[in-house]
Amino acid sequence: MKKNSLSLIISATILLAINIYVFKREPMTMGIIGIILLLSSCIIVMVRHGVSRYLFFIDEAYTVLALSVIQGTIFNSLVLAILITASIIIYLSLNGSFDMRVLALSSIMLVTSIILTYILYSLLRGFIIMYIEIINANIIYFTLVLASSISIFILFLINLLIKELAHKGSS
Amino acid sequence: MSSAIKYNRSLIVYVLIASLMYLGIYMKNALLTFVGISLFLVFTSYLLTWDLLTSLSLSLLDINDELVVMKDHVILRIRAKSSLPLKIPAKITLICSPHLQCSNIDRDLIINGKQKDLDLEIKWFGIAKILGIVIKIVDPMGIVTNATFIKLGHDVVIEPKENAQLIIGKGLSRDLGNAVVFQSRSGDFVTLKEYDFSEPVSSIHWITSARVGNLVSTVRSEMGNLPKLIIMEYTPHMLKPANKYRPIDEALMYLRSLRSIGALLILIGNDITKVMNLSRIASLADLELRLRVLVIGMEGREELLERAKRLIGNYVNKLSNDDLMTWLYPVNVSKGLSNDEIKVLTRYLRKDSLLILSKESLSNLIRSNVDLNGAQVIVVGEGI
Repeated sequence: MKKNSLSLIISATILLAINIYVFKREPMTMGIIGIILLLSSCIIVMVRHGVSRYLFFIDEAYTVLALSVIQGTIFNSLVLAILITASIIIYLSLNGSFDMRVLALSSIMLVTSIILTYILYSLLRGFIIMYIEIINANIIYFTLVLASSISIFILFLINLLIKELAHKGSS
Repeated sequence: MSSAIKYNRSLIVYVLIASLMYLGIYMKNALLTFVGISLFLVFTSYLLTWDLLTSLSLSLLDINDELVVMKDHVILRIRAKSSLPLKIPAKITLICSPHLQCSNIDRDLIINGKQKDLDLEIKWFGIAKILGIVIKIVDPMGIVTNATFIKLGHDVVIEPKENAQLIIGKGLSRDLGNAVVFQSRSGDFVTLKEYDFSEPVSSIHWITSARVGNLVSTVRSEMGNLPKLIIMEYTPHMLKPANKYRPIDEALMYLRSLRSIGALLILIGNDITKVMNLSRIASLADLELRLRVLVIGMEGREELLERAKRLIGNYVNKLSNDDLMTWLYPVNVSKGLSNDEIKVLTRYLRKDSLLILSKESLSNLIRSNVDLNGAQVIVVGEGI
């Protein structure tokens, strides 16, 4: 089996699972449309493989849209978000757009970034409450986004430092 | 449209991720925010890891290279080894002087992979410079690019080949009024050989034939009367590419053919007159390099740096002045023989001398009413 087909099958299966979850929630039509879209995409890809990439991202975008309409708990949203991200990453890595070895090694940086995000979230939450009320945004989400951005920025700086040290060491 | 997407992939990816995150905050939707954050963390972690690994790999890179000069080709064997034990596919760009065909080589190289043989076709004679290679690593999505320049600094000596066609080629049979062209019907005696019936009867050496009892013919030099003095134009015109060869390439091929006759060589041009014994010149290719360096010296250093920067970017800072002079090719100076140089040339011109010069300089000589009567003239740069 071609890697390309395998990536599509795994990713489409994840998307199908999410759409079945959507189907069980209100409004039902979103889930039905999602499942029909996914199945018809599979048929189109069988006939014309060249369009698989575009169809996959259309399905992915539709699933995110459908999920944004239904209301769920924070835990459910987190699990679904991880599933959506996993389907994209699996598709890209099996498709050759992501290097598998680098992806595996990047898990170290990913874990560090998640830990940093959590620490920064805890630190920033209390501080931000007083300012965020003015713009009437959700404190948790805003703080999470801010914490993730700062954590990545810190990792970026560490990255630069390591590169600079390696460059100096080699020259 | 597709090129806009191709060159702005990273921007598009991050705009989409940011849109998801801020839409999530605006709509107070947990899923959109979480999808945005998770994609942001995963993508950026992956790209930062890729950037770090490739940067480290390039910093710790060790290039083993070997140069094999063949008849019409130069083979550069390259092996890229990095202390970081990862096989990374990279693209290479070979930086060399235009004497070698460097642009159409296979550009794929695997760091920590097998040795790569780069087959470079020889275009011109002289001393070619293989300055170095730019190794570029691009991630499969084309978002992160890391590159480094590694200086190799090989000087490839490409001596002119002997081309029999030159001696009887069309470049010689020119109508030059009173001047005698280099080709003549009766050349110098070379040797005796068994008579071949396709040869003219006049070539039979009757006395020897009678002595050995078999038909024996004389072999005469196709070059005709051999000159004792060769005067060669040594100006920027000789470096101007025309067809396959430059005038200097043709001139060097003639010199190579005439090397054994022990003639004196006088180089005239660039306000210098240099006399040397042709048979004592160790490397004819060196004559080309000296002329090139002389001519490129006429271009300003700032101009050269600008040209080099256009070709290899900021890596130019790693190069010495000598590297620039021997790698870059003079393009901005176009100059033939000056009136003073024509006067010097006229002083040396004798009946047994051979003149090698470009078409432009020949026109100058004719315009200046230089008496070419009896001189042998080779016009170079009209294509072979």
